[in-house]
Amino acid sequence: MSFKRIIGHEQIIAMLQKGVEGNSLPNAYIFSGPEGVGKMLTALALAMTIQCLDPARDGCGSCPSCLKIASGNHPDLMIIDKGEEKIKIEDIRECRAWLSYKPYGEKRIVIVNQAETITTQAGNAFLKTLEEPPENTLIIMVTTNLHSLLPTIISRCRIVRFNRLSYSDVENIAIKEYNLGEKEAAAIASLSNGSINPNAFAVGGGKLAMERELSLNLLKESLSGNLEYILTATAPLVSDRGKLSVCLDFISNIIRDIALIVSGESDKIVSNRDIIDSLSEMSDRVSLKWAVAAFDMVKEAKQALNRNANSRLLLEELLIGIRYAAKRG
Amino acid sequence: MELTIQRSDLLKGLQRVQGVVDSKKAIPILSNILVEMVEDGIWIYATDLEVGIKGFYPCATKKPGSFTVPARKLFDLTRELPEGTITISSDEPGAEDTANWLKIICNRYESRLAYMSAELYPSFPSYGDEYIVSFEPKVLRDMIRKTIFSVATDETRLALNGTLLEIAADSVTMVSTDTHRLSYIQTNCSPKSNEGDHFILSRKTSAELLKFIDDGEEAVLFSVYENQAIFRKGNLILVSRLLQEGQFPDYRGVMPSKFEREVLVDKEALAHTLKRVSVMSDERSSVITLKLREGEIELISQAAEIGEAKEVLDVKYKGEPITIGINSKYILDILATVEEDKMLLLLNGPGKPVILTPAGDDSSKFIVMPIYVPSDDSEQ
Repeated sequence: MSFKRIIGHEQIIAMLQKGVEGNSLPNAYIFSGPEGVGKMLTALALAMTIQCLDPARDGCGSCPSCLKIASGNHPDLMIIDKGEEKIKIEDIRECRAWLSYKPYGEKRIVIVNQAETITTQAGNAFLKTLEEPPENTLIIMVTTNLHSLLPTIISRCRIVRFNRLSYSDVENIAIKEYNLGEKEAAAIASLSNGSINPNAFAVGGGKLAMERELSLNLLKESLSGNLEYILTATAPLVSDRGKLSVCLDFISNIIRDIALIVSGESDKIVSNRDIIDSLSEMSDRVSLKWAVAAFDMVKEAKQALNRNANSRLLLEELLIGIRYAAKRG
Repeated sequence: MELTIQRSDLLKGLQRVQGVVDSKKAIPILSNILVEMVEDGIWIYATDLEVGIKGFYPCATKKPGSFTVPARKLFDLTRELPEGTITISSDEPGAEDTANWLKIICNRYESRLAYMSAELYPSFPSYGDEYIVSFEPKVLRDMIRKTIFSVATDETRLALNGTLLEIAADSVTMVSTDTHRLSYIQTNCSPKSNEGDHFILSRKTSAELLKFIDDGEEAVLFSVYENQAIFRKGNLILVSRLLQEGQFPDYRGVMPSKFEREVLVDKEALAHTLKRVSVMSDERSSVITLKLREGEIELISQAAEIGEAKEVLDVKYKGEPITIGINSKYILDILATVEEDKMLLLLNGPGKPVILTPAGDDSSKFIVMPIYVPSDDSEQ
C-alpha cells in the first residue's frame, strides 16, 4: 500500500512524505479521526514507505520489504491490534520487550490500532517508551476517539487529524477498490457519511442504487399526493425492515440535499450530486421549513423502527406527514 | 527446484532449528523455516527475530532456488520417514490454485506441501569473515554456564535480561546480574576489536549457544555486524539480535576488593549440606543462616510450620565469628557450575555482599547479596 493508492488526505500524506524524505519524523504520532477514513491504511503506507528498499522510497509494493509488510511478516513492524479486546499491560510489556532489541534493519515501527482501548495501567506503562523510544523507532497510535486517551499520552505524540472523506473520494474508492458501478458508487457515497464501511460496500453494493431510486420516488410522489403509488410501492419495504431502514436513511439524505439546494448552498456539498436535477425540481416545490420538519419526521420514524413499530403504519404516516407539511408550506 | 538429501542430514538440520522456530507470535512466517539451495547442498535457516540458526547440509541439488515451509510439518514428516534419501522438488501448480507446491518423495511415500516465497522470510543478517574472538568450545561453554543462571527475568529492567560481553585488550569478560546476585567470568585471549566494546546477549542467545557449542569440536568465532552478534562454527551460524545496550549497571562498583574474612570450604561437602539443610527453609526465600566460627561453619534453617534443621561443616577459617543470612538456591546455582573442588567464601561485615570464587582461580567470581536475619547474641 503506497501513499499513491490512498484516496483523499492529500495534505496529511504530503506532510508524512516530507517527514520521511527529510528524516524529520517525530517519535510518535497519533492518527485521530472517524472510523473508516483510512487512518490505519495511512499508517501502513507510512510504514511501507519508511521500510521500502526501493531507493525512490515510495512504498513500491513489490520489493521484499513491502511484500513482508503486506503479508504481515515484516520483522521491524509490530502491530498491536486487539480487535474487540482492550489493550492490556501485557501487550505493552511485550512491545517493550520487542523494542529492547536493536532493529532488524534500520528502523522499526509500532502501530497501535484502536489505541482508545488501551487501559489506564497499560497507558501508563507505555509513557516512558513514548517519551523516549529507543533509537530509530516510530510509534503510531491510531484512534477514533482521541479524548479517551490519557492526556499524558496525547502530550507525547504529534497529532494528525483525519477528516471525513469527501463524497467524490468515497465514490472513487467504491469504484476503484470495490469494483462498484458508477450509479452504485454514487448511491453508497451519499449514505457513507464520508467513511468507508467495508461490509456495507461488499454486501450492500449492487442494490443500493435501486433503493435510492425508490426512496426518491416515494418522496416525490408523496409531495404530489399520489397515494396510490405510495400504497403499492411501499409493499416490498413493509416486509423487509432492513431495506426500510436503508430507505429511511436515503430519504433523510435526500431531504438534507433539498434543504441545501433551497438555501442556495454550493452543489459541492450535496451528497447525491448525480441526481441533482430531480432534487432541484423537488426543491422548487418546498421550503426550508418543510425540510426541517420532514427531516425530524424521518428521524422519528427511524427511532420508531428501532423500537419495533409496525412498519406499514410507520411508513404511511411518515409519507402522509411529509405531504401535509409541504401543503402547510 | 529439486534436491535429494539423506534423511538423517535433513532431520539434523530441522532439529537444530526447532528451538528458535516461533509458533505463536504475531508474525506468522516465523513458524516457517527457510531453505536455500546452492550448488552442493542446502542452508536451513530459522529465526524468531531474537536468535537465528543457520546450518549447511551437503546434498545433490538441481536448479537451485529457495522456499519457506512450516517447520513443524516438515519436521514431523521427516521424523517419521524411513532412513534413506528424500527428494524434494517444486511441483507444477494445479489449474485452479495459486499456491506453490513442493513434492516430497521418500521410498513409496509421496506428499505435497504448500510453500511460500522466500522473500517473505526475514533476510539473514549480512556478515563477513572477520571475527573478534575465537572461543574454544570448552571455554565458551564454561563462560555461559557460569553466567546464564543469574540473568534477570524482570520485565522492567530490560538491559539486565541478558549477559554483558565485554572486550578488553587481552581478555573477554561475561557478566550477568539480577540485582540480588552477580556472576562474573573473565577469559584471557587476544580479541581483535577495540578495547571497551561491549554487547548484551539475550538469555535465549545464551541458551541456544549452549546447544550450539556442544555440536562438534570446532572453535566458535564471535563477531558483530550491525545490530547482530554472529557466532560461527564451521558450517553452523548462530545470529543474535543485540539488546539495546547502555543501561547495564556498573558491576565493578559492587565488587569489593578487600575482605575481612576468607573461608576455604570443600565444594561437594558444602553443596550436600546446603541441600540437606535448605529442605527446612522458607520455600519462597530459601533463606538459611550461616554462623561462621573459627574452623567451622554452622548452617541453620528454620521455617514456621515446616520445621528446622542445622548442620556443622568443617572449614578453614581464622577470625571473628559472624552470622549472615543467604539464599541457599543462589549458592547451589553457583556450586553447580564450578568444577574445582574447593571454594573460597569471601566476606566483609554483616549486610555486605558475599563473594564465592573457586579456590586458586580468580577468573570467575560470584556475588550474592545477604538476607537480613536476626543475629543471636547468646552464641557469641
